[in-house]
Amino acid sequence: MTFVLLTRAALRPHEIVDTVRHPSAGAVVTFEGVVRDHHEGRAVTRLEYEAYDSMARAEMARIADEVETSMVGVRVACGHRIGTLEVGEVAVVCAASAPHREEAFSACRRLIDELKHRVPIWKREHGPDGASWVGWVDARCGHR
Amino acid sequence: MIAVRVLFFAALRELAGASEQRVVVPAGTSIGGLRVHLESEVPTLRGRLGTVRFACNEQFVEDAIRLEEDDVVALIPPVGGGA
Repeated sequence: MTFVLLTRAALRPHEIVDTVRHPSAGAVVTFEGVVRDHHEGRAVTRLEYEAYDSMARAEMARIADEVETSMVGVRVACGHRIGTLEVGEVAVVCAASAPHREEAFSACRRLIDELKHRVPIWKREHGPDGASWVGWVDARCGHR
Repeated sequence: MIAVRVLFFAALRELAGASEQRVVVPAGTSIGGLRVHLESEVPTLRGRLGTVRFACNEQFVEDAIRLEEDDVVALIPPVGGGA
């Protein structure tokens, strides 16, 4: 049973990481995605995350299942926060355990890469120049 | 004719001016057909759906998939999970 979390509350990484620990897992790898103060040369003051909640949870679970099914002995978990986050706050946590470090690193990497590509979560970047949806190229030139 | 629920998120929600809309299309319409329909019927979405993926009932789908009555179709603009 894979642990997947989508929440407005502050993430507590250890709660997510603890779900992948078990006696035959000799390696536990954690990735935290943290709101940073810049993006593509612009200052960022905060990020606002929006999700298609039900599908986001379903897609996170599908990704976790795919990783666990394709890598023997691997267990993964992930959590994503939505709402308004300040610089330094944790937006996403991915954890993977495996008998040895190589598979654990690889599973954690695959989990965050797939999550960023497939899970329906969007972020609006706020900075001194205003706000814009990240990845939406028309956002700055349309409807002004 | 069949009716489907269309969901808009993020930049598309702002462009459409609504988070969802009931859309009636001919029976047998595909996801690709709905894409064309929305671009022609919703003026603010015209020319805006090129980079948008579609999900039907909470799963990503290809343009060839045919719609059924009461399907929930979500327009998924480029996602931005993570930090």
